[in-house]
Amino acid sequence: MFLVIGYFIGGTFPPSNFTGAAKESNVVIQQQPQQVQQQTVKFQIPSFAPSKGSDSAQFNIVEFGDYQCPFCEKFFQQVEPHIKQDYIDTGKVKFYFLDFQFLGPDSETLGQGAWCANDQGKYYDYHDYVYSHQGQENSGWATPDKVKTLAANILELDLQKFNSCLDSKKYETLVQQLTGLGKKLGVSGTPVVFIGNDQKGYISVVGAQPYDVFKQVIDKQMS
Amino acid sequence: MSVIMMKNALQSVFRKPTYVISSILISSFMFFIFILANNFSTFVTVLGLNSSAKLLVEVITNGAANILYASGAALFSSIIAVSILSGITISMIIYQLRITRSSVGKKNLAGFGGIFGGAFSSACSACSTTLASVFGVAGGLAIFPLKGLEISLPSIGILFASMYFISKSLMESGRCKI
Repeated sequence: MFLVIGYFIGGTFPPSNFTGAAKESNVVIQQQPQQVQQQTVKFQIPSFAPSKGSDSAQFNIVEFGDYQCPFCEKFFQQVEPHIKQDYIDTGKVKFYFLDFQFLGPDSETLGQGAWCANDQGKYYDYHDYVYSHQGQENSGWATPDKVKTLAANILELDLQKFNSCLDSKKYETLVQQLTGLGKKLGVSGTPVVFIGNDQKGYISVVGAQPYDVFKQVIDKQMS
Repeated sequence: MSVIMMKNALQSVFRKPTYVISSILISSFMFFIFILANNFSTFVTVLGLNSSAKLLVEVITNGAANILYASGAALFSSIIAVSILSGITISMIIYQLRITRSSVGKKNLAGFGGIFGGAFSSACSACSTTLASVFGVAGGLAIFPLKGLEISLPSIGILFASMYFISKSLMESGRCKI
């Protein structure tokens, strides 16, 4: 019984309303004929999403994350450096971080801050800095004022422009839309990492799993 | 009085090494199930890769480490306590069924409620996707100020209560009623 319940919540299956959502967003689920069925999802990465890595990379790693989630922080600290060294720096994959800001208003503020930093080409500087200095969930470390203070430590970021952008909430809808995209793909928690490309589709890995899990999925997709 | 009764009952059950071994095995199995239930999708993904058993073990140990990492030593200890108490309770139920041939009463079965509590308070390796989420607890354990101790501590209480009733039943079955 535990297994059955766990299977349904673990993110391997899309939610029951997924079919409807899939029609709207051209998200397609395919099953592979294997001993243990593994589902792939096909979707388009938003063209405006900033990435780390070579433009000629054949495969993508797309992380849906929340800036307040401790498991995303663990993924950032313990898994991302290995992925960077073995796959991003070698030109094999491109890495994308997309918002799935669901842990409260502070998460949304942090998400908006990333896009304000992106206006100045500092999306991943901001991403890396926030995860390196993450506080406890909803403890008040990421109120708009605190986010501005955090951003002040990012090298060569024009703080005046950043602050004005954050105050304007111009990226509020974008953060919500990206979170909505994650939901359509079956994301119900963070981090969820999609590995693949447009042709092969994407296999998802739920949670801050050991690096070897990600390595095996990447290698399988590349083979 | 009840402490002495429980002590006597436990001595009766665990005098036989079989029940000590079964208790250890069941406790370990319960802990494994608590972690597996909350990391099942990854487990399935890894199975689908036809990977080595080592990687499957790594997923489970990582799941356990993640509870300690994100929810702290208190929740981790309480989940271990639920696992151990589950092992003892189930061994006592088996002993009761085999030795006294008496049926398992509703009070004795209350322990299974405690076991469920242990599963629900176990954290996944991701924010929100715990077993608790499936019953509409949006945000999973994140919404609990004590990160799941709210569930695991009552579970420990339920398991102790179950052990008490089993002990009582065992002791009563060993003497003539007036």
